[in-house]
Amino acid sequence: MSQLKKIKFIAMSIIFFFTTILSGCAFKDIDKRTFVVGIGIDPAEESSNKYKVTLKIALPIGSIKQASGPSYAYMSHESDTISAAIRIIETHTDKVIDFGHTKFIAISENLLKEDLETFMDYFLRRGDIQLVAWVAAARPSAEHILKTEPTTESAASVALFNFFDGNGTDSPFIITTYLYEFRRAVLGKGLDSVLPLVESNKDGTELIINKSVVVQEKKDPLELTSNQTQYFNSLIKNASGYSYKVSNDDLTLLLDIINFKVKFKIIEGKGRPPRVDMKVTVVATVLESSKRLSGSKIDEYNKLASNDMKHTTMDLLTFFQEKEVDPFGFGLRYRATRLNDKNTYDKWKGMYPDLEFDVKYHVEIKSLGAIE
Amino acid sequence: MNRFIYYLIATHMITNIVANVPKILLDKNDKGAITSMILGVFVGLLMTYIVIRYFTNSPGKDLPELMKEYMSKWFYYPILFFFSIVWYTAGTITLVTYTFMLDLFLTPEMAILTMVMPFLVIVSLGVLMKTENILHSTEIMLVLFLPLGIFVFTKAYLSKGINWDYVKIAIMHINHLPNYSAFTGSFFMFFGVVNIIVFNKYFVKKLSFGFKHILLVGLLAITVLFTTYFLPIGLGGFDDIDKLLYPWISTTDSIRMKFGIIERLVFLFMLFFITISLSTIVIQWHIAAKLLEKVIYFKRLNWKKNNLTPYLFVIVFSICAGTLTKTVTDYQLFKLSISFYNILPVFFLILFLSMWAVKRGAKS
Repeated sequence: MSQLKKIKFIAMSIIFFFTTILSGCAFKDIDKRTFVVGIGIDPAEESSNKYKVTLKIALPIGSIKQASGPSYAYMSHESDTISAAIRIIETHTDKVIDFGHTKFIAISENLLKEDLETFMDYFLRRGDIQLVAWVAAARPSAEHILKTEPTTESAASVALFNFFDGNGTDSPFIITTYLYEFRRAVLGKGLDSVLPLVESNKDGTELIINKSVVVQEKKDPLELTSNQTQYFNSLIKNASGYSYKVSNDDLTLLLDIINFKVKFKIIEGKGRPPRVDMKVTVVATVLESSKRLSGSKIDEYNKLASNDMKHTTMDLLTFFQEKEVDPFGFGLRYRATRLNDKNTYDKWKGMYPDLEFDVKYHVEIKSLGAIE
Repeated sequence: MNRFIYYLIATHMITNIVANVPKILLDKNDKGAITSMILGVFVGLLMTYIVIRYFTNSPGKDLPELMKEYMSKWFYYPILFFFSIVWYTAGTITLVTYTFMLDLFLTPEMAILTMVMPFLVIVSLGVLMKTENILHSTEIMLVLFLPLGIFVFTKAYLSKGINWDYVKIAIMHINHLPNYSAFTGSFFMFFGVVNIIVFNKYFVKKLSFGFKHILLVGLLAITVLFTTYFLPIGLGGFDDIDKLLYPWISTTDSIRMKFGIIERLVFLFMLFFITISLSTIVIQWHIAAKLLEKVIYFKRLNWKKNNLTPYLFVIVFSICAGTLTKTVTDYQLFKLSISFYNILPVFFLILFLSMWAVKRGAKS
């Protein structure tokens, strides 16, 4: 018995010995590390290089009470590859650069037409950059966007994160695209990725995010206006806070959309061009009206809104069709509902320009608000 | 003791959600993965049924004992040695895969040997436990960590990022003939039940295993395989998923917990999978050691009344695994696991033949 106890004692001491070397940070303490919160990629200014990489590094502060505002350091370098630039940046700082908290990747809009796979490679290959990081297109440059420190930014929080994480501002104008979504759309067939377009004002005190770009392979990204962005975002991601203006000759209604539900299927009939049947169910409340409303006429308002929205959707769909982009993922749906063979996708490619759309709206106004 | 057989099955399946099986299946996503999985489930269930029914007829006896009774030494020595190697390889592949994964995703700057050492120490201590205690520790692991597992999987399935169209595309690739590697990979999911050949010693009461139980195992297997294959596709897309080296880590990294203690769910997943996989590795190495003991046993290697043979085995096991971790590359490991899964049918053939030989010996 004492034998067993001895073995147990030895075993326990070995385990305890190991706890002493478990420092938790792979032998490098937290004060020997700097945390990158954002990476920006721009085309290089010098022609001999390819990329300019900018890192936004959060500086630690003693306590939030003492800090007057957030403090960041910025480091840039140009090189042929992203990792080479980062290796050089590592020599400009005394600490280990840690990408575990990198949650924002800004890519200059001028770079989005190039071979996306080559520079996406770095982010995907590194295991420690999270796939739930946000990807955004930057204008005029990623460096400029990262260096913008909005006046409303408070200590110990990153303004750029607040835009996207659903905890801060919550606007239908802001499209959020995670790195994994971007990856699967760029590398897959049948869906084009939409990235938010981040701009800043002239003196660098405000970040402005209300446009977006559709990324296409080997072509310039297609810019969507604020309205298109907002509408698309509500349709596809059921973003909250969208208000829609309905008007005819004698009535103007502003609807606050509570819920968007979109269903579509692709129908191939004989002798007829293929078409997309789209059914949208909308639940809304009235936000503002030019006239006194009556509860008994609510069906009329519903019909009015349905008609109006139908046209907006048709406009958006035909706009995408004309520009040959497919952010809704019709191609994906086509592949998902046809038994696969070698040329399923090619068949779809040929079909898309002639596709017809049949949009049916069902708007349900739940409430007129507090007054009639 | 009836419940333990399900623990053995479940821990093995859960471990292989992450290890090499998804990589193999996703690699064949346009070459017949789905049909292979369907075939794998049927063959696996059949195998489970045969193995369990066979051992319920001789409760309290493990296969080496039975072989000793009814077979000649010259037959069962090489067979047991081969079995031992199979179990050791199964455990080691899991161990090395998990070490690589941790090294890549958790601590990229850490030396791989430092990474594998704590693993080896804990697994070695586990292997030296009594067989019965291993069963109990597996139960404790499952009871403690299954709630966490259920939580993270629910979170994953409810994630907004899943695009079910990708899953449907994957299903639309059903019109391919099964692929051999994908088949053996999904068949490997059922490997956990074969642990009974040693653990049956502790299943003294007669196991009841009928239609209801086979249905339970079948449902578990289908859920696990569905999760293994389709969840990475739903989150990672279909066309390029085969390029991910650790598809499951990338998958769990794609899930965000907005109001959690940790925003990245991947760390919770890792905690869950590492604990479950540790008990799987312990079980597999333990069986390897037990089987090897029947073949090689140094009677004189005593130290204060304790025989040191198992300790010697564990040291050899650890050194081999450590060397393997240091020398092998990602790609070689993947190839090794594919060839290991591919020889599994041969292993089962030998297993069934020896089971049949024992039965014949018992009759005559």
